[in-house]
Parts: sequence; C-alpha cells; structure tokens
Amino acid sequence: MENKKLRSARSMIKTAVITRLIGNALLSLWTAAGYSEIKENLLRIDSGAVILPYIIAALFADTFLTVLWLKNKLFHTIHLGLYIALYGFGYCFMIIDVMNLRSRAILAAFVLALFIWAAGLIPFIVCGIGRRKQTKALNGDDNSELSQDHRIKRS
Amino acid sequence: MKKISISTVIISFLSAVIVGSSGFAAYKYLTTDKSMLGSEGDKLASHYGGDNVNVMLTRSENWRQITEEKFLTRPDFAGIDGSTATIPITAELARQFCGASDDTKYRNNYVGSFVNHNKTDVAYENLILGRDNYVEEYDDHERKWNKLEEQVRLVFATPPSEDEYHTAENNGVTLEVEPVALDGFVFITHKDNPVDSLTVQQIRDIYSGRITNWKEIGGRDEKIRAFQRTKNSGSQTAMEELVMQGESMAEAPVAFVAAEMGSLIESVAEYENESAAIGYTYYYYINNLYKNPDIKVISIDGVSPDNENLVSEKYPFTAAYYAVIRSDESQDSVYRRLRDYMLSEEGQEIVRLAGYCPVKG
Repeated sequence: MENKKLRSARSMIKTAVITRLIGNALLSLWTAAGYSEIKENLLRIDSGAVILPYIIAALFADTFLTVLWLKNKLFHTIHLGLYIALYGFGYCFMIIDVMNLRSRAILAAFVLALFIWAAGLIPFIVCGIGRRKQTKALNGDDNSELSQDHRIKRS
Repeated sequence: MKKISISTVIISFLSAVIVGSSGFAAYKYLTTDKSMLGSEGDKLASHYGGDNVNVMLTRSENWRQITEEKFLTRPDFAGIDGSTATIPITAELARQFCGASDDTKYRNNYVGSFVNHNKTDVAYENLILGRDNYVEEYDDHERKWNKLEEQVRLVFATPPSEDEYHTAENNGVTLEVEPVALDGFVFITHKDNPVDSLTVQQIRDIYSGRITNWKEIGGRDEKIRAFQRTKNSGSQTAMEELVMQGESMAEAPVAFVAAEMGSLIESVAEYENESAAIGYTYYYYINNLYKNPDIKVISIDGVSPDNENLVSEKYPFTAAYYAVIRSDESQDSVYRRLRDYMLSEEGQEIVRLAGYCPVKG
C-alpha cells in the first residue's frame, strides 16, 4: 500500500516534469522554426534590443531545473520562485510599456502571455502535490527513515 | 541490465529536442551579421512602440492668419488622424482655427496638444473601423491633462493601400479620397556617397535586387544596403505604387526595415559602411521635420525635388497627400466641411503655409 502511494507520488512528479518539458520543447521548436519572424518581433517587442539569446538561455535553464525536480524538491522550490518572480516581474514590466501600443495583435499577445504564464504554473503545482504525497508516503508512521529501513528489512 | 523506464526515455527525448532546437536557433543567431542588428535595433528601439508621433514645428516665417470663419474647435481635432508626414497640415489647422501657439509655455494652447497622428496604417484602421482618437486639454484647476476623445472621421495621409481598401470593403465602408497637397517622394543616402543622381530604372533595379553593388551605378565597390519601411506604412505604399509600379521588391533583411520614418533616416545616416545605405522618405519630412546633416537627397534623372519641379511634374516621384473621409459621413459634418475647405483657395493657402506644395496652382 505504501509502495503504491510512493509510486503514485513519483508518477505525479514525473508527469509534471514531462508536461513542463513538452511545453519547453514546443517553445524551442517554435523558436528554431520561426527564427527570422521571431527575431523581427523580438526586436520590436523588446523595444529594439535582441533578446533571442536570453530566450534560448532561459529555455536551457528552465529545462535543466525541471529535470532536477526528480532529484530534490529544493530545485522545484527554487524554480518556482524564479518562475513567479522573474516571469511575473518581466510580464508586468512589459505590460506597462505595452499600454501605449495600439496594435491589437501585440495587446492580444500579451494577454495570451498571461494565460500561458498561469498555465505554466500547473506542472509546478502537480509536482508540489506529488512531493507532498511522496513525503507522506515515506513518512508512513512518525519516522520516515525508520519506516523505510523497517520495510526494506522486512522485504 | 538495468531496466530503463518509459518516463526516463520520454524525458531524455524531450530534453534532446529542447537542446537541439534551441541550439539550432542559437547557431542561427551566432552566424547572423550582428553589425546589422545591434545599432539598428537600438534605432528601432527608440521609435517602435506605436507611440503617437507628435513632431513639434514652428510656423513659417511668412505666416499669417488667413482663416476667418472658425468652424473647427479643439475637440474636433480628436477626429483627425493621419500619417507622420501630414502632421504639419493638422498643426497649421490648429494655428489657424484655434490660435494654437508654437511656444510650449502656453501649455494648453501648444500646437502639439491639438495633433495626434497615429501613422498611416493605424489611421486608416481607425477611420474604417470607427475607432476613437484623442487630443489633450490641460485642466488648470486640477493641473492635469484630460483626454478629449472622438471617433476618427478624417485622415490626412497618402492614399489607402490595396490592403486598406480591402479592409474597408470587408467592413462595408467606402472611402472618399481627395488630394490636398503635393510632396516629393525622395531617395536619400549618406552625404559621402559619390552618387548624386540615379535613373528611375536604377532605383527599381536596386530595390528589386538586380543591382546589388554601388560600383554598378558609378559609386564605390560596396554592397548596397537598401532600407525599407514596414508594410502598409505610407512610405512603403508610395514606394510600391509610385516607384516599383507592380514590380516586386526584394525582401529586406529585418535590420533594414524601419518602423518609423525617423528611424529610417537615422539608419541611412549612421549605418556602419557610411555611404552604402540608401532609403526613401518624403521631401517635406526630411527638409523640415527631420533634418539630418549626414544625409543628402538623390536627384532622379538629374532632377531635384524642389517645389518648382514638383508642380511642373519634372520630378518623377510626386506624391500627393489626401484628405480621406467615409462616404457615410453626414453632409453637415464638420469633417466633410473640412475636407471641402482644404480644396478651397483658403485651404490650399493653409497647405502652402504648412510648407507643402498645393495641388491647385
């Protein structure tokens, strides 16, 4: 029963990791496929500066941190903090600049970005739930290590 | 042998896709000539954003008050939109009808507060889709600027592009388009470029990609950096219709597409290989609104774009600015009246005072 709970918890974490990686994969494929259009739009959206290198670096870092969720919950916590702080801050910063824009497409893109950002929180939440379930499953009675050792000895 | 789980395979595969495609994008970026990107990006940066272009002008030396019947008021100016190049027309109307001042110390009466042109493509969208524009009025009591909004009812700009006509048709709108002023559509290069004149065919060959080096047309052995404007901007439409006349333009690298007229002029002036750049704009704009000492205007077939050559049509690329209203604009509307007024003797004198060449004499 406890093994089942543990397996279920780990499965949740892996699902969260895979979901996030699928999102990153789509974004990176889009970046590669639409390079010239994105370059032009990036030049414009960021008021002229080329931010493509930062996008690529963010993708790499995000992927790396996501895979590390499997190792330790600390990486999940750090990643979540960065996601909320940096992306949220960046979005607000861009919204302020965007308010002067008249282009409907640009405004729609930024509204959509808000939804995408919110949707991006889902894997974090699923992983967080999975982590809690894993902790509960490992804890079992009172002492998680003792419980686990006990189970190993018994098996 | 250790069993590899499906999730591990999936995670590895996705990571490989991410690394591979991001790496590809990074490779493309690293192999791009960044000398074109950096400074041009900065120039585009300072102008992009869809900010309303409000260029402040001073009235001409021989300015005089000619309008007697003042049928335009400040709120009416919110219903006027247009291109960058026609800002001086609206500004002159503000001076004539509302006594607007060129002095910024007269805050509420400053001519800039009467003018809000959103550039050609946005102005036409506003007119066709019935969107609002605004001008500002300073409230001395509350010490703040208030917006006066009005639906866009008249546009001063180059004629609508094909796309804009389609948009009007799709929205059940018919446009009435009347020319009110003339200007020269000019080509500019750096002052150190030894080429002073080009033929019409040479211009077409440059922008269609058939001529790619200045040496082919009497200049230095340098690759031609041909700047363009964005699609549906007034300048781009004029370039396509006046100059290219149906011939396709070669696609410009993104660094050579300027979002605004000012940024194109700066880009031509400040491009790395100084004399290699060529661009296009309107004569009035470059002579009055956006002077740059590093730029010179190229003559076409040996003819320079001064007023005499524009009126006599010796200069081949004469562009007209139009007053455009919707055909469903009511007969007693102030905007229909303004459009008709611009075609009158007094209206054409206003065009002259604004610094343009009138269409009538």
